[in-house]
Amino acid sequence: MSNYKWQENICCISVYNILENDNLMDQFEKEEVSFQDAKTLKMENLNYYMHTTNNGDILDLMSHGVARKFIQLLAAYYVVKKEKKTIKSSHIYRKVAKVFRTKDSTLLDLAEVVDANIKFTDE
Amino acid sequence: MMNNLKLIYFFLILILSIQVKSAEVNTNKKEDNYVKPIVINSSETNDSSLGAEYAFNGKLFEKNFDLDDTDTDELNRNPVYGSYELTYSFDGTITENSDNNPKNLLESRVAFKFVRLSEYQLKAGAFIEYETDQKFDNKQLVYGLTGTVYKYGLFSQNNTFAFHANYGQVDPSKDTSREAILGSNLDTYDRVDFEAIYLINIGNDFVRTLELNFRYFKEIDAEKSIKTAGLDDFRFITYRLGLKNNMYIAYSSGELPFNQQDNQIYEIGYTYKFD
Repeated sequence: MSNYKWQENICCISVYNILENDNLMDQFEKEEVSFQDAKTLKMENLNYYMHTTNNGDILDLMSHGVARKFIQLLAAYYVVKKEKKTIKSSHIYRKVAKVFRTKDSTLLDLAEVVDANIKFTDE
Repeated sequence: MMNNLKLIYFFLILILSIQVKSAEVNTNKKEDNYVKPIVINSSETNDSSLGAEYAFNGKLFEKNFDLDDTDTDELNRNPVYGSYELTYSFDGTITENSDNNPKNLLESRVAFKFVRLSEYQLKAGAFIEYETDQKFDNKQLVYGLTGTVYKYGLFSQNNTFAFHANYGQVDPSKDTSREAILGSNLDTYDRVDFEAIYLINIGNDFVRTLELNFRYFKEIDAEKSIKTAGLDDFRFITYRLGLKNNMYIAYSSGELPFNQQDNQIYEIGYTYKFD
């Protein structure tokens, strides 16, 4: 069980906004899932998840494609840098992709990975 | 011999299943490995079948190739990176009565692939696959080349597309339908197959997504008798509507190898997992 807390900080808010906003990734509706409830929202219940296949190659690439889109939007709407200079950018993309790959991962898990690897310089 | 093979296969699935459970206990969430109970309603037999759908995927070896940007704290917005990987996968559907199983194709595969991750996500390489029906009455080995591509935001901002194709040689050790036409000495033959998925993010108040999945298998230069019997190609299409509150409706139609009956499958469900 993770000790990470879902709260109204810039990291959790950015995760929620990018995934929810109709003009960004539009993965769920705020009328259905409020910010407070979003921490338990699972990846398999977001709109991007392909349910008609068991093909591991497709699901792998899906997670990398969604992670790339998510990080690009994060970098476009927030002022972000790598948490540590010594971390490779691609390493961060891989970590985020792993969350999007796992059906049972939640928005809380995603926020934890983002917070550990990405620094919000306007926070 | 046949029973031994069945035992080995199911023992392997059981071990993998136990490993998934252990991984979940260790908080290290496993990606998409699962065994889940299902109920299938097939129009062919007008019958409902209890069964289980399973999928196990993993990497036996992986070597990453990353752009080294450790001299800056700037986050690269569009990195190109990749890997080599040796993977395995087992997936299929098993029902209490195999005659009522419209998805009667179990696939077990090992593949070596090159992965390139950029604006388009790509995999390409070689594979070897064992295909059988759930009673092991029919079985064949397939080996050849494989490739997969995925694109987020195709034709619309949040619509996604995936395409997976194989070109390989099929070595049937037992295929009752082909034997009925060609006799017991079955030659190898070439086959191309693909799976294409387009997922439309509708996002309105009731319907959230429409997912279309089309699987196609085509024998290359099939003999006339095989074509006449309709054994040279198989197609299977699934439509899935993702609804509000994690409800969904799915409809499938078509046939898969080893299952020459054209089936229509209806499924209405709700996704919920007990933690």
